[in-house]
Amino acid sequence: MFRTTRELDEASRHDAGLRHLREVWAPPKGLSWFKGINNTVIGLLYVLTGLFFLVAAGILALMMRAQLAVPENDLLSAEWYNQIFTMHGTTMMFLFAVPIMEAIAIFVIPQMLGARDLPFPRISAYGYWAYLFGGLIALGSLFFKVAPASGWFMYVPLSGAEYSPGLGPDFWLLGIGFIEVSAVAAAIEIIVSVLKFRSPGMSMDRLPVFAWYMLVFGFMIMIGFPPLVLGDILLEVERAFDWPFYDTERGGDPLLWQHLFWLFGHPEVYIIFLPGAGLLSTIIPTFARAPLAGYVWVVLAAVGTGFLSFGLWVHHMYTTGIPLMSLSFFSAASLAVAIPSGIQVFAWIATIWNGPGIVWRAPMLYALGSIFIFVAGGLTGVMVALVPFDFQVHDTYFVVAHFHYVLFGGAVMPVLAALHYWVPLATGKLMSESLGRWSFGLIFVGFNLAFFPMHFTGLRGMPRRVYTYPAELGWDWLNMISTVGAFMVAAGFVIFLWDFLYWHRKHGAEAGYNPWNAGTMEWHTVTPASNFSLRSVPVVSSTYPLWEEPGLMERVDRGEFYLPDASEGKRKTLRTGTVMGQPQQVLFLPHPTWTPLIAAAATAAFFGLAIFKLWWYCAAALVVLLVSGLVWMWNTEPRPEPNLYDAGCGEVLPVYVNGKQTHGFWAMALLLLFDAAAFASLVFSALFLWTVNRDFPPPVPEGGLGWAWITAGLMLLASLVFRLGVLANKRGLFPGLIAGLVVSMPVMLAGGAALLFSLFATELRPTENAFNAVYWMFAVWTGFHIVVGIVMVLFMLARAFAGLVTAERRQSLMNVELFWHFTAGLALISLVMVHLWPRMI
Amino acid sequence: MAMNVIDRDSLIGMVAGPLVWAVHFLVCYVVVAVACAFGFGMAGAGEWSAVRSVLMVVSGVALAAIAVLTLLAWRRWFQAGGFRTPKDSVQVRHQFMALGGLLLCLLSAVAVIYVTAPLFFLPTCG
Repeated sequence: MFRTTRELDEASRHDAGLRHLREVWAPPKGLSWFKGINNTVIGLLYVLTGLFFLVAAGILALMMRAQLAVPENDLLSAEWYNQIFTMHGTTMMFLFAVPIMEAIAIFVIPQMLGARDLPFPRISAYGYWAYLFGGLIALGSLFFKVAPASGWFMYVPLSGAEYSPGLGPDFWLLGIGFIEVSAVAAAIEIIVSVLKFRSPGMSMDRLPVFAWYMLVFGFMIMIGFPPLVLGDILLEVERAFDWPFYDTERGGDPLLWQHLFWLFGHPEVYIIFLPGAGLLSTIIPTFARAPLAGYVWVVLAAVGTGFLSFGLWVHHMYTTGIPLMSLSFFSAASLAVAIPSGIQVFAWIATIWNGPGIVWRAPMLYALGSIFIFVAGGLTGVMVALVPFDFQVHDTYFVVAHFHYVLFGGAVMPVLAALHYWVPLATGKLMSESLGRWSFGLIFVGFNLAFFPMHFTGLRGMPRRVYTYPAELGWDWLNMISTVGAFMVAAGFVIFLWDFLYWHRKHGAEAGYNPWNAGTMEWHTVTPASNFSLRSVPVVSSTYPLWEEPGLMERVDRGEFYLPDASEGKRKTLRTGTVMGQPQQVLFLPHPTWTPLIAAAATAAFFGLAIFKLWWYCAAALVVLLVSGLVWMWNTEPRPEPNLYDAGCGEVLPVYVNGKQTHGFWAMALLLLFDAAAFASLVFSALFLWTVNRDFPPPVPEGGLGWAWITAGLMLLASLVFRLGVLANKRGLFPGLIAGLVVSMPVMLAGGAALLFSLFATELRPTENAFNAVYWMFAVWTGFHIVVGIVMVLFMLARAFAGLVTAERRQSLMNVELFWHFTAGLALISLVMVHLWPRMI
Repeated sequence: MAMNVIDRDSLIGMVAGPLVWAVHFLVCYVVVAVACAFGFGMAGAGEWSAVRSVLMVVSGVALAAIAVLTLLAWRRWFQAGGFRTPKDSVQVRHQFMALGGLLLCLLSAVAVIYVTAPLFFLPTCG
């Protein structure tokens, strides 16, 4: 057992396997450190960046509270106040809450599962840099006082070209749209990691519960983010090119934006809360000294919440004139979601009850405070789920109080607990207990002081988002109390950050081995944690190996299990079966490289320049992105000869595998799930506009049917030809493969052209009305996929000529094929929506 | 390899109940939205419209489907030992997957009943 870094150094001298592991996994030194892609490097950067945005958004909150402390205050102007509350919400939701959860997951999940790293380390690096640059673009607008000022939900028409003529909304749409790239990257990474990259023997019933939560979190991002991505695109296209999706004069509808936004926005708050609950479910058992009570119930709660949260989005829109019956469906689902939330809370209480008593340390204080605040917020949540009550308090400070309670209790406090809890893995030191108590006390008391009175402020009728208020309405002293509380919270955060960033690293106690006596595997390490996780990847047979399997960890440290060596100088991890966790493949991982950073900078440049409509520079950025992407992808699919690797434990596993169980195929399938959800949102938009616009029936296209049939034929042909090429490759017929790839491209291009001709033939112009704009959007969407597909096929051709696509090595071809057929499918559905559907109704 | 959805080790099988809820919810929402927009399906005695009757039938079908899934999960759970202490790790896993599916079915049934309740009390388009 290694308990200190010194013991590890000592052992490395006579244990060659350990020495190799340390050399191979060591992060690069000096400036090259930024090439780092290991989950510990990226996870740490991610956490620090998340905290930076938390501080930024917190300062904005204090400015607001200072403005509202007294009536008729003139500290901030109305316009400036609007920008501040918009950026407070935007930054907290998009730049702090979701990323910090991903950050913690990226840092601890591989360690928890006993994997050496995430399955796609370069993608998480790319996602991180994208998040950093995109966040700085969005936040930077504040320094020039050109920030968006329409609220974090950017309701149209306020955020449209007419009422927000400046660049503000563009910063929001392009900056936030770009950050979603990183959210999706991290979500795919986490899903594949949890399902495929675990220790052998870690079946689904032995997953650390945090991993279950992050699995649900990942799938929720896959289904929940696409509607916003689509809404973003539509709004940006309306602002830039005057396609009237939301303009009532031309058949659009502002409610469409609200639907698309909240289709994302409500799952979003659960996307933030579920990881928080997962953190609590991880931290509470450690300090209650008992395994989590009702494991299966907690999993049910996580999965159930994930599903039900998609049936709530209209409860943000009770006052928009939707039929009462529809509202009631959403009210019912909003009440139902309280059931799984309640189950979780009782599971935590039962865990504490089962144990011999609480260990009163700072992380546990934060966890208990979190339960208290979350439950209080949940109770007001049930209140505002009821339609009549919501009619009364909608858009008042009551709602502000409610969602700050649930988000602070469900996300911020668990994150603070988690930072306290896991910081030894990063620094090897414990944070101060007494400073922790002070910060907890100030934050807990301050928070309640700030937000509890807001319930009354709201019931007394104070509306949200007003920059000031008259004196004699009975709101002034309540607001003063809230402001005092807010500054108390700020003081608590100052203490916490001082400790987290500086004090504990200089003066903190040495953490040593497993300082909290936890049961999950990320704690089986010297602190600071080694980058390669465990000395060897064990066969586990319980949820808490450190508690329930004495002696296992000594054997791990003697290198008795899987992957105990890295003598060939390659980073490796183990891929296991989805449900049972049996070892299936040894995966060779990439080593540190600049490509993710360059690709992210190019992507950021593309979106940043698009704000200012500098299209030529955008094109240049795209070229850089493309080149870095191709360099990045060229060395994938390592396939040594013979394709076998001695994984330890007497098992010889393949290094290269083809088929549907590979991580690459899963990632592509998940990406297309995201894509399909966005496309479904576009279909929804067309149908929605049709139901709300009784004076504007969808225009029936005249002509173009011939072109439509040609499109359909060409698309099916392109799919078929590609398929034949793939089949030829399976039989080892190289010319057949080349012919298939070369012929399918012009056929697909011709299909795209025919689709465009079919639209031109109808003489419907996108700027005329909303339906025409939606029809054209279908064509644009398909066209984009055709272009991406062509790039992929050209890349495949290059690889084929380099001898990298063969009968044995066909995984990337399989992924491209999936994308290709998907594109053909999009084209067919687009044809139905443009040419068939309007003629039928 | 074709995945048997109600196989003992299928994650899709585990979330079959919530999937039924999702489809039911979507059908209810879309039918009411379209009916109120176009004013069809409003025939019937007074307040009681055809739309409401149709959605009640849909809810009945959804509940029946969840009931079948519940029975299947119950059977899988019982085969894996049910309340008895499991013999080996395979049985533990089967118990977990079956019980998880069973509980999710129950939660989905409650949610479907919640969503159906307004049909009994409210006019179709208020």
